[in-house]
Amino acid sequence: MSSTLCCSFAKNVTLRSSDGQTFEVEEAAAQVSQTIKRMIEDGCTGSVIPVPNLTGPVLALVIEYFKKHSPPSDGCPTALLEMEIKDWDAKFVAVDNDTLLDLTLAAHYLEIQGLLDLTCHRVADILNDNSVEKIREIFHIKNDFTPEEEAEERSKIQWAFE
Amino acid sequence: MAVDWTQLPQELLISIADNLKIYADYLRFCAVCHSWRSSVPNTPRHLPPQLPWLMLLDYSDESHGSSDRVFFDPCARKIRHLEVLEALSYDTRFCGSSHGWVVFLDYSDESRAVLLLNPLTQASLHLPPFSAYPKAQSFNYSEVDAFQFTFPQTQTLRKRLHLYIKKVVFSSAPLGNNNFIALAICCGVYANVLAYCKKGDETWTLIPRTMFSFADVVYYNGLFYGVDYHGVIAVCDINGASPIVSIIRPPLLFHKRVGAVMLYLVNSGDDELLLARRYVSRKFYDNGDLESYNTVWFEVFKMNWSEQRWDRVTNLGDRMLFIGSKSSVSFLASGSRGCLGNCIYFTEDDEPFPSYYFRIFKLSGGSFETCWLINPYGPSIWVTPNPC
Repeated sequence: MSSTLCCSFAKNVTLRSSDGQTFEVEEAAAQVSQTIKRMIEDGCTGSVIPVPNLTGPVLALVIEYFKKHSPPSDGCPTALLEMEIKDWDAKFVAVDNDTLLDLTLAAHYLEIQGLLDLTCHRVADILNDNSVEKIREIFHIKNDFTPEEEAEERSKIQWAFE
Repeated sequence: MAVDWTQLPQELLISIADNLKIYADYLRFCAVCHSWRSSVPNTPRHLPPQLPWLMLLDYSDESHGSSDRVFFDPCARKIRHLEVLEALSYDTRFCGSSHGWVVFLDYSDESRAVLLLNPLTQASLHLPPFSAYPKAQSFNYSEVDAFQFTFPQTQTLRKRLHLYIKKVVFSSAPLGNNNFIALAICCGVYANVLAYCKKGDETWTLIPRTMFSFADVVYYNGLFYGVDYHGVIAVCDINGASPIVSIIRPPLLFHKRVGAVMLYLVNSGDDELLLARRYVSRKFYDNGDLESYNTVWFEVFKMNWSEQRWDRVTNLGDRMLFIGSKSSVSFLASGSRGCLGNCIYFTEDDEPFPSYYFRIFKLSGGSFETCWLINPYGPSIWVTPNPC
C-alpha cells in the first residue's frame, strides 16, 4: 500500500536524446545532473527535456546511472548500500573505449560530478603503466609530433619511456 | 559522437591527468599528442610523494665527469639514468635528501658550499655555506650538555663543530615555499649540534640546547626531531623568531644484541614517528682491519606520545621503510606494483666498502633478501622523485 502511494507521488520527467528517443525518469533521479536540475528549477522544461548532445543509447546508460544514484527516499544511505553502489559503478564504467568516451562527455555536458570522477579515474587506470605507443593504439590517437619534436620532448626525461 | 579522445575539453583532460598518481605515467600522458600535451601543466602539482629511488654515486674514473647519474627503482627493479648537469667534484658528498631534492656538500671547496639539486628537474640552488656558520650569538655555553667541557679549549667553537655535516633535512621543497627551513646535524670532535637556516638566511644558526650525540633527524608534523643513540629526542620548533627546544627522555632503549647499532628516524606519513634500529655485525682480521660488515637484524619502535616512550612494533602491516643514513622514508605498499609491505629496504651505506646490492628485511620471520646491482657503487641515498 505504502509503496503504491510512494510511486504515485514520484514525479516523472521525459528526456529526449539527439536522435529523438524519449525516456521517462523520476525527476529526483534526473536531478543527479546539475544541468537538468537547473533546467527543472528554471521551469523551462515543458513536458519534454531535450538532451541534444547525447544519442539514445548513451542517454539510456546515463539514466541507468541516474536511477542507481538518485537520493534514497528514506534518508541516509547505509554503508552496505554505498559498497554496493561502488561495485556497481566499477562495473558500469568497465566498457569499451568508445562508450567510455561517450560517458565522459555526457558527464561533462550534464554536469554529473560523480560520473565524471568515475570515468576520468577509469581512463587514468587504462593509461597507467602503458607505453605512449600502446596508449595511442588503445585510444586510436594519431601521433601528431614530428620525430624531431618527439626526440626533443623526451631527451631530458628518457627514463620515463624505458 | 564525432569527438575523439584528442578533442576532449581541456578541463576533462586535466581531470584525467589529475587521476594519474605516478610521475612517469604523467610524462607519458603528455607525450601522447599535442592536444593532451598542451592541456595540462608542465609541472604537475597534484602528485602524492613518489616511491623512492636509490641514487648511486659512482666515483670510478670512467664515470667521473659524466653527467649521467644512476638511480635504482627498487619496486620496479629497474635502473634509471638521469642526466644531471651540475658538475660534481671528487670531494662532493651528499648529506641528505628531502622532498626529491638532494643536498651536496663539496669538501674540496674552502667555502663549504651547500648545493641543493633536484635531479628530476635539474633545478638547483645554494644554501649558506658552512664556512659562514655558526652564527652563535644565541648560543650560550651554560645551556649545553657537559660534553662541551671536553672540547680542546685552543680551538674556536666554529672549528670544533665544523668538521663534518652528518645530515641535512628540509621542512619542504625549497622552491616556491617561503617557510622553507633546512636543519643540519653538524659533527664536531666530541659532540654534535643542530643548526638551521631559513629561506633568505645568509648563515646557519646553531640551536641552543642541542648538543647531543645525534644519530638522526627528521621533519615531522611541522617540527624537527633529533634522536640520540639512547632514543632521547630533541624536539625543535624553528617556526618562530627563535628556536624552541624541548627534550623528551623516554626510558632508555637497551641493545639486546651485540654489534654496532645504527638508529634511523622515519616519518611514517600517517602520523607516527618511527625509529628503526639496525644491528651490524663486524668482523676484523688479526691486524685489526675490517673483514666484513653485515646487517644482522632490525628493530622498529614507534613513539607513544602520551606515555613518552618507544613502543616496539613487530608488524608494519602494509608499510615499507626505506632506510639510509642520509635519508629515510616510509610508504604503503598497496597499490604499488612490485612492493612488499612489512619490509625494510636498506643499503649498508655506512660500510667502508662499495655496495653491490641493496637488501630487504622482512619483519615477519626476520629474513633478508639481497638485490644485486649491476655495478658496485659508492655512496647511495634514497630520493623521492619530485617534479616541483
